[in-house]
Amino acid sequence: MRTLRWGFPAALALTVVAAVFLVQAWHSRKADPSAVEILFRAERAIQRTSYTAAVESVVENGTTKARSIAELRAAPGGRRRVRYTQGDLKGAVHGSDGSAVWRFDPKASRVLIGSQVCSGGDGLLLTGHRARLEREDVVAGRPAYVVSLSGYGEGRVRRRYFIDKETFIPLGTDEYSPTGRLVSRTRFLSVRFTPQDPKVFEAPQVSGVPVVGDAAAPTRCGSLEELSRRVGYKAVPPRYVPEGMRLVGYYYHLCPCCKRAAPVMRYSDRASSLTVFQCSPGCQNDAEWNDRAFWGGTLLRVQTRWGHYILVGDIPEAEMKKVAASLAR
Amino acid sequence: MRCEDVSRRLPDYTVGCVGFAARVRMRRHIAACAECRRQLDALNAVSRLVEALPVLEPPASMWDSVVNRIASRKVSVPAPYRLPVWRRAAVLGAAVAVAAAAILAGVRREEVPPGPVGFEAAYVRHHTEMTAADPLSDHVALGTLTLLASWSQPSSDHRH
Repeated sequence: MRTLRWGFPAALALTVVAAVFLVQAWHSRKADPSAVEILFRAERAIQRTSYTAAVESVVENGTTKARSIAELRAAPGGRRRVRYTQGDLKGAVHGSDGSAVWRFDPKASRVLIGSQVCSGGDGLLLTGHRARLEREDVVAGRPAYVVSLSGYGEGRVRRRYFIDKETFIPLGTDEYSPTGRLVSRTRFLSVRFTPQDPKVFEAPQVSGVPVVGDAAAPTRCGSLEELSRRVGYKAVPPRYVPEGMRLVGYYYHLCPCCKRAAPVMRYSDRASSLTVFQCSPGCQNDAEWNDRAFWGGTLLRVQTRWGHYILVGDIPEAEMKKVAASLAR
Repeated sequence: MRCEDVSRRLPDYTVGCVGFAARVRMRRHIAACAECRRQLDALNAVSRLVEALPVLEPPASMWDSVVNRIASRKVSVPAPYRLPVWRRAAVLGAAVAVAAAAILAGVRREEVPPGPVGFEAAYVRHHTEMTAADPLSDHVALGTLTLLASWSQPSSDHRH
């Protein structure tokens, strides 16, 4: 009798405790709402703010490491200019005036211009990511939120943003490889919020240096049918893309292997992106690599009945393989 | 079987000190997991290096000379100072920990593969150029990657 009297409340208490744990576990699975809000504000702030910043960066790509200090100028409309003032890339400049991207590489002695690829959709999609507000820090003398992004099912931080608490401009970014190694670190050293002269975002005129169109750069197509017409064979997109990713657009580019027009399909959630390159059926891309890590992403080469595909993206490797499998079917 | 379990038991696995069932499970996991296979290869490489060392045979008279020296110390030399048991245990523990850390550091050190070159670099360049359109992307890092990739491309593609 005594056991029964105490047994029921004990069982009830245990059930309540278990339920609380379950609810907490479910909530911790979801993104931190404050972190998502900070990222949304950052995305809006970038599109509305003009500033000039001195930026220090260390970027690792395989065994190559580049250390640089650059001047970054940014203005609304996706306009930006990065001029490397010190380090391994000293003298190089690249940017966008909102409609065309360009770069001047002193080693190549030319200014290359290509059309600007628009980003996908209207807003940041974080369906495939877990955002977490980790802490606060100080960058360039300014207090900043530190927000990390990790892919669902990975449990590993892929990117860490340092976002200005006042203006919501990212003052720094850390990028991690799929194996968790820090592959790039960018930090503002100083920043001034000043209006920009629109001319600074135009391709530079360097005396004695030709300005040429980037023939290999991707060109946008309105539809899959138009893309197939442009390249002269059937463009076949993947049947599977990771949750939360949207089609940014169909493009064709000059295939690096066979130098013929080839389809490019691009997907993005505006935090991560995936580019699917389809080689032409006769392309002799018989490279020996199948998958290769680069910076914070992966290259994957897959053979299908449509021909070779090359997938490049900073999405989890498992997701990349699912995309590849959907192409092979 | 998880990677942590396999990683913990890999040294035993390489010397055959794992039960039959566990061995089968580990073998299945290693066949499917590139990271664990890499760790196993690293361990095997270390074992091969050790096995490649020449075996030194002591001279036949060595044992007699050792015994003689011990006997002579017993007579003429006072008993050497011996550390208390707990200190010996602590020293031994520290030595084991240092050795384990050194082995783990060697095994777990990630080998950085070379960056994309040739055609791969061309694909990376197109990808990074397009990714730079995303508002939250790191323009400085992506621009750096684009330049590094363009330097790694075949020269025919580098100049049009």
